[in-house]
Amino acid sequence: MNKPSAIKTVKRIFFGLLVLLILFVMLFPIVAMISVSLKQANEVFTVPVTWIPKKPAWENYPAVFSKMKMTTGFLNSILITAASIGGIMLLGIPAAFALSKLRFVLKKPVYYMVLVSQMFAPVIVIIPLYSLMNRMGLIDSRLSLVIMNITFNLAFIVLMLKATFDSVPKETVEAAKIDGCNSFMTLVWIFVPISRTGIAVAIIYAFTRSWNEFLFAFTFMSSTEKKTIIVSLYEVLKNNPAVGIPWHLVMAGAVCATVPLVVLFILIRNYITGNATAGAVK
Amino acid sequence: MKQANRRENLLNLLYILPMLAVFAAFIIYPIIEVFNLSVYDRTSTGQYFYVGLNNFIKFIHHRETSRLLLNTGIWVFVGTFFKLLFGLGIALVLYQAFPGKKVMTGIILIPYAMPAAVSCMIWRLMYNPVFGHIGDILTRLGLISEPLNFLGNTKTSLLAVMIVNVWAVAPFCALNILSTLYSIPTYIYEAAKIDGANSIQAFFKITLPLIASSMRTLGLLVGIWAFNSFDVIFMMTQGGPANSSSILVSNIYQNAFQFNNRPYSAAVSVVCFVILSIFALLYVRSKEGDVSYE
Repeated sequence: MNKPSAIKTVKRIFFGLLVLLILFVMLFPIVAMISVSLKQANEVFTVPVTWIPKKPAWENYPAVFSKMKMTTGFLNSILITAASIGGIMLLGIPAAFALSKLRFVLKKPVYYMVLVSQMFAPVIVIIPLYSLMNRMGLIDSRLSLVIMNITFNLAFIVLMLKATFDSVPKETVEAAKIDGCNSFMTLVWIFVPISRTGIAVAIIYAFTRSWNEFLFAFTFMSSTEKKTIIVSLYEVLKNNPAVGIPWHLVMAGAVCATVPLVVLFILIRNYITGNATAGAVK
Repeated sequence: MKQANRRENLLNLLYILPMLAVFAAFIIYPIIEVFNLSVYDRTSTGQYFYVGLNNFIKFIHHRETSRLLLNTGIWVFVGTFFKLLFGLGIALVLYQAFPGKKVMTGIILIPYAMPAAVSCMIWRLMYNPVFGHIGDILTRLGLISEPLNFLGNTKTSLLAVMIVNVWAVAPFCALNILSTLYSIPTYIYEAAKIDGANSIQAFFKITLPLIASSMRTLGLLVGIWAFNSFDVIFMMTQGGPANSSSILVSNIYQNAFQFNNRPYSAAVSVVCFVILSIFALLYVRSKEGDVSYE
């Protein structure tokens, strides 16, 4: 009886080491970020690297807002993200409902268009989009970013919401019809309340993708006071040589820009699996 | 009755018209414009004139083109291979029951949830040859004796950026593969165990064949994302040094906004569009063929 249990112990130790290795690889950049965010300005450049700051500089965090003037960046990001989520949901919920439960002309082609349109990166059409925005007078306007966020996240969100609505039995529509609901009332009074978890998850995805958007936020905006937090932080890196960058403040800013996303993702972690490839034809 | 149905079919279009309008204005119209622009050229005074397929011929003969195609191929195929491999490894670990499993699932989500710009900032700092963390670890382990400039070296820049991308996307693959693993009924494994299969046999004879089709779909999706991922490369190296980490989509941006050569950039866009269309077609077909075991 001794031998199998020895093998079991070896297996367990091996498995434990594997878990630790994965955690180390996934976490050490994050540990580095937090560690640098708590360093004094000169400690960033010391060799060999100190992994635990000698004296944690908590004052770096308020300095992100006072010294680096990132407050407007955060406000812009919040404003643009909120408006984008509103727009995505306003257009996406009805479209997903129709694709899931209603009959309409050209349904199949529309579905395939939604599926395929998310394959094409915005960078491919950046030139015509730039001139289009220019003609509409929207270059250097926050509205242009809201429109772009809506355009390039809509397909993904519609497929997510469609999968949610698909799980509501078809009989619900018929029952509501007998009770005198037209399809729009059915959507507003029955489908939205039933699917609130799925909608919440979709909102978090829309939040993440709008918050993280870089290409348009970097290309369309020129005034400093209109830039998003992501671009504001990136420009500190872009406009300085590596030794001139206030890394401790940039990393403190990076932590601030990341925390809301990580919290939201951990909230919805049970719904993440499988959703991203949802929307298959059944 | 038939007429009422037809009326309903048309009325229901109202639900999707706003979405279609957005797509028409900001996706379809720009795609047509890109095709249109690709057959023009511009004089130094800003006059556009028709040149036929000249921009494409220029693209084929351009001395950077072969490198761009090679880089794109490496970036997409090698990157996707490692994303799936590490994703599968992590998923198999998370499939087991062990204490701290929930915490670990939360932790591996962090790289995926992070803004790409933020992870690029961290890695740029960590790759720094003088005060970066990676050089520090490698020196402490005695693997290198003098500082290495991972991002500034033409031989390592693409690899260095790819590591960042694999690190950020592998957790997503892991969660996806994990959900597929959960969809395999456990009685299949129990039956195999009774038949005397060990866990390695069970993996190669049961798990792998059963997850293969959804792995293929996932691989296509991740590959398409990689082909499109302009921002990671731009933020890490801007495609440099000397274009060593440039891929096709970074070339589009460079030509459009840095070299101010828009017609040529549009031609590269068209090339990307055609390549993506092929992959999009494969993706849709692969998705339809996905098997599920619920």
